[in-house]
Amino acid sequence: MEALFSLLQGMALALSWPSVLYSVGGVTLGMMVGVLPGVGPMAAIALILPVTFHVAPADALIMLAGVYYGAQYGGSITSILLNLPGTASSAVVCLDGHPMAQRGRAGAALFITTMASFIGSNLAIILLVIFAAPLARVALQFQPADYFSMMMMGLIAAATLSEGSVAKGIIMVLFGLILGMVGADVNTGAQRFTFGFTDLWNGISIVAVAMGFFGVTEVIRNLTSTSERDASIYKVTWRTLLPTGHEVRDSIWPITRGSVLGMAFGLLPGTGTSISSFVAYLMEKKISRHPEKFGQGTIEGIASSEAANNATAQSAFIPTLSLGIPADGVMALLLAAMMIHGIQPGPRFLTEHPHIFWGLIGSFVIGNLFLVILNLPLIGIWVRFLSIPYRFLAPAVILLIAIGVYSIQNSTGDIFFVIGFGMAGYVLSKLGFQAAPLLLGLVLGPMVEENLRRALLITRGDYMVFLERPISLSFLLLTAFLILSSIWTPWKRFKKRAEA
Amino acid sequence: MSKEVIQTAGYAGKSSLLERLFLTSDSVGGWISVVIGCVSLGQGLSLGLGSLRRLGSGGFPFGVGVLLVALGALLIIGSLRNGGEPARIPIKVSSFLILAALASFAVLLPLFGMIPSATVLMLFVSAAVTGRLAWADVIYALAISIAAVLVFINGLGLALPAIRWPL
Repeated sequence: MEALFSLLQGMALALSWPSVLYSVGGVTLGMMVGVLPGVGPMAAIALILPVTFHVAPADALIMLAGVYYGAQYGGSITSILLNLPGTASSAVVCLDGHPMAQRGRAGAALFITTMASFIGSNLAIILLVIFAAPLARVALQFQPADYFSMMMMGLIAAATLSEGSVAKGIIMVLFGLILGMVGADVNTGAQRFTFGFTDLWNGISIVAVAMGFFGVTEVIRNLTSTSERDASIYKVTWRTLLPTGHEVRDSIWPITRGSVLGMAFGLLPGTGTSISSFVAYLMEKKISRHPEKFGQGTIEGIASSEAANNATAQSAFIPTLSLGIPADGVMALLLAAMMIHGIQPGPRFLTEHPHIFWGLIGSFVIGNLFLVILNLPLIGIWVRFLSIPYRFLAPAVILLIAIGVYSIQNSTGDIFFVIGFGMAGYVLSKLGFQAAPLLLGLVLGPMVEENLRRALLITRGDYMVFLERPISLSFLLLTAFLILSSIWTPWKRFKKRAEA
Repeated sequence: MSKEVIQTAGYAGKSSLLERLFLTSDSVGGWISVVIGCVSLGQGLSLGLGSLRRLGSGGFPFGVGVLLVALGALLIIGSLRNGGEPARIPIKVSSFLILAALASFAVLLPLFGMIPSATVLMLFVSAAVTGRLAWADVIYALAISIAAVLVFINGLGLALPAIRWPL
């Protein structure tokens, strides 16, 4: 009851001026980057992060979060109409969404994906309202040893559950830890990894890293692989939007199952939306009575995967807001935004800044409602949006990167860092390294080291503390389980089968 | 056995020791990890590891370095034993133009202000995308630069001149 009251208060906050403007602006921008292939939510959040330095912390978070979950809605439009995933998490929608479009059912596919997104998101918001506050209260009992073990689990989860090789994932986390160590050591003041450059004394800005690894790398990658876009062949009219009764009946249970699965994935730190949508699709295919129809345009596949990725996007806020552990790269950026605004993420966030916490959650409800309005009636505009030539889009993106990075510290030195990170990001991505674990390592790294050293100081160097405290031990056991299970990864095998 | 597996196995059989050691995407990644790990080890040792009870500034970098070298070695050994995809990093002139665009902005901004530096940046990127420059690109670049001044300097209060002449 108390939570419901707080949520209503939060919604009132989110509806007040100018918060509602930031919420609507955020989700609209999210829709836009979701629709456009080649500009992901990560790059978009990195791009507008410097802009949000100038607004109130609550509004900044509302807007950044809006971009993230808004992109989950928009991605499926491109998948269905163009067979090109607008975002990584909507890649699965291509499998059945595009065949539906070819059969003239693009409208119904768009309607069902929008509804699945809406239902998935809202179920996850309910979970968030119920569990975030009690979880934060439990987390207040945590000691440094528990924090260390929990963060270790987050880092290992990011490495093992992301796409690609586990060893490469862990290497990226370690690279992130090194980037996080650059600058003065908080305990001793010693300069680490600065190699005599004064520009490095204050550490490396996470915005520069994110813009280099996600923004610049994405533009370079798009230029080396050109693809044609033409959405004009699929006309989506109002009448074709309505699904048949049969299609609605067929999608109810997949949406429910996808939402539940998506929520579970969101709670696990380090998983992210692309994995949850893949697993939901494969689960649906496995339990379906006609698995052979999957891939030829069945409604179940798109309903379940869309519900899952949106549920994950919303429930990922639970560990992020109540524990201060980012669930994926985007959440890591959001935590960075909080720190820039002087808010310390962690279990105390909820008690120290209740209005920001509940305002943010209230904005989710409003943002999701607005996304449904944006999505269906305005579908024609989004389709036209796809025809913006890349020669006009790319210069604007690079300019935003340059101005954004400059504005953090009013220094052009940071732009050279972005150039370096952009090159490194491109080379590493071509070698099969994912960038998201690096960002998690960068954000969590300083906290991991701090808590390790603090735990050892408190216990006078007794390493057994990590195994003696039950909370810490359970996190370590979970970490061990993650490492062991990564040797046997069912979804990677399933994924290969789905792609074949 | 699927066709794909046979092809990979065929490749692994044909590739020489040197190729598997230095040219697969796993081994190149492994070597990068080993080199960065060694730098981290060096930093750790030079800063002092401290004691087990009281970790010094170098303790954490040292640990990270050890892990990086070990994982890098694992990737290299895996590539030596099983081969793998050859590392392919396509580099085009356009990639350098994107980096040049950012660099030109960093150099020109303090000298000439926002409009000239933003215009030059956008022209570099347009050239990278299309391979040539049309009048439309120039007009577009100028328009967006002016919009950037309105949004970032007038709107958000970024302390920068819109245009200046250093001489």
